[in-house]
Amino acid sequence: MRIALVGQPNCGKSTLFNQVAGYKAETGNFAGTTVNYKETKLRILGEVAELVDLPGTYTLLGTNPAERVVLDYFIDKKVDVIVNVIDATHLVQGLILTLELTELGLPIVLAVNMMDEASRQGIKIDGENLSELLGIPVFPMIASRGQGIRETFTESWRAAKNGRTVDPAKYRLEIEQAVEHIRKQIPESDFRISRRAVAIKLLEGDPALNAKIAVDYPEITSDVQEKADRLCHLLSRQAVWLVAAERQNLARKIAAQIAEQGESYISLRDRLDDYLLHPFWGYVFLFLIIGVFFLAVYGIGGAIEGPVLDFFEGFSERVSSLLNGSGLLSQLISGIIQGISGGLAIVLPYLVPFLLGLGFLEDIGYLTRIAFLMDALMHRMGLHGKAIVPFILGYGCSVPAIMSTRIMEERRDRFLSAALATMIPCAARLSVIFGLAAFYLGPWVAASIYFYNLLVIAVTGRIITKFMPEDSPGLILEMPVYRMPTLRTVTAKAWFRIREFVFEAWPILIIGSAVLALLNFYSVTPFLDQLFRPFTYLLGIPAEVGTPLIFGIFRKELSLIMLAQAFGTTQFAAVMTPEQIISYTVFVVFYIPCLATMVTIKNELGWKDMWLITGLSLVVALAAALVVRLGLMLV
Amino acid sequence: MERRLSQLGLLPGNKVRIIRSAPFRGPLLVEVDGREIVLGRGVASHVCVENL
Repeated sequence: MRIALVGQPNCGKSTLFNQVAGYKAETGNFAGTTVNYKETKLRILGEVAELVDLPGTYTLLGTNPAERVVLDYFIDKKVDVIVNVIDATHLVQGLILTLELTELGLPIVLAVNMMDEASRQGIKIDGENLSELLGIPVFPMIASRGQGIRETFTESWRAAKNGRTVDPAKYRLEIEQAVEHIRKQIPESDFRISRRAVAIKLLEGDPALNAKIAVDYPEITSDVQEKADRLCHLLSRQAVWLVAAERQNLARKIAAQIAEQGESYISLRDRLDDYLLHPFWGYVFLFLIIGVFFLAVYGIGGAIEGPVLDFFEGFSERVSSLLNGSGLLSQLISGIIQGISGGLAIVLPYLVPFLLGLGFLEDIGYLTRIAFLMDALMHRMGLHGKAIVPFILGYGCSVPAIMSTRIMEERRDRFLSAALATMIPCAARLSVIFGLAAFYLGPWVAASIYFYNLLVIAVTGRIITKFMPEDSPGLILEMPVYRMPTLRTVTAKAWFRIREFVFEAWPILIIGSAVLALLNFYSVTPFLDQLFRPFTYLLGIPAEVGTPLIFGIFRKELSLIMLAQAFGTTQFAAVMTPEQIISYTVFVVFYIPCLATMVTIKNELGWKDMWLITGLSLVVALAAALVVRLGLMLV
Repeated sequence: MERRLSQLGLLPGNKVRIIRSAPFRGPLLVEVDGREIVLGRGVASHVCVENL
């Protein structure tokens, strides 16, 4: 049995999914967190069912690749029952999608989520009445606290067993006639969704479905065109608008019958935007919020890095004197110790507070506010505010950042934002910036590098825009309400990424560090160093960093951890001048995306764009680091 | 773009309220049916409205 979770963006599907599946899906308080579907096994009444979390979509007529996934899924896969999640505080919008889903001819159970938020806003919902009006089971839910989940899935199991479908809503006569005319021509059993739904989607002008029909049944295509034109002629609007208006009217009528607006209890949160989105104070708060976040990460991480590094330095010395000397075994063991201490001292102390803070800002709903404030600036670099989502996710990890470019409609926007988002220092590069530059040279150096990074990205974006002019109409984005995140969702989200580091990246760091010890022992590293010699020469940094830079392509943390191996010490200030540390850090921030990122770019945009972005990053890295080097020489 | 707007409830005949706008020709924040939507200036300039 397969159960599909469907709902509009930011209605809490992924929160519900995670409650059932453990933490498997990314959640966040903005539209488009889930860009592909995720599956999990679920046990209901002793039977195993498959649960699919589909990306949020406003209608089944998706306009971007993330939304397209939903309708395609219903066409390609057999779904036994739909669990439709709607946000109780946005009933009308939610019900528009519900009405569209009832057309598919599949059993549906409706979960009205965020009931706590609704009651805070004074909204009373008559669930029984709603169930009667729609003809489907309805359950109240508070997914973030796990309420109503069991009831919903038990009922969906029953609905799937009975195969109970509903009569879809009827539209105005002209539309019904056109739909009926097309429906009759569609052969039975050729689609997994009802013929009525296919007919409506064809009239609405769904590109994928129309293309499919044009190949399989060319005779229907001309009929669809004729009917759509006729509707347009009769009612002086395109079919897609007509159907949307019909659904909206129906949804409004239903909502008016079942919901009652009582007294609202929130006033503070409503007024919050008066400050946080203020034309002047909004930017002051933005600066303060980011600044506090930054200093907190630096403060916590720095307090841990020093002592832990000292401990491991001492430990490593004792071990090597115990094994007395510079034999292969001693080298290998000290390499392994450096790999372990790198993860524990340099990466985790910064990664943990950073991810917790980012998760908090995400869940509270501040990210879309940043998009609102920064849209004007983003236009200067040829993008619109929506690209802020991959940018901000990029501070965590480039892989989800590139995947999230799917929320953009235009291919050009996807390429540009992917190219620029890979240059955002991810959490791995954060450890280089903090563990190296900030730790030895102070927090202001790190802050300057972050600021300089944004400047370089803006300039790069501007230059690329010269070759690829902006043609997209711009930002259209839903503003989420502020929500107090639960401790559980924030920590679970951070753990999601920390786990990835601990179990996937850290072993690679340790192995990489050991391999470098071997390469050092057999004196292979000088040859590897030569590969990056043109860059290290131009930047005036020691040739020994060539090998860490090469290994950094596998995992960005390696370009710091292996520095210890390359120099034979963790006291980097003793072997590199401050200028060299800065040039090196800047180069590391921009050069060649890591392997996982490259693979993601290839999957999302293709080989050509992957090489283009990789080449671009190398050019930008060299230029950015050279400018810094020359600038520092002048000072 | 039209589809995108219709998805978010910006349909002909609906009431829109401008809540605020960002400086430097930044986007507008509008409310339709109780939902807040951010519209870039480029998009907003293509939406015809009547003062109520």
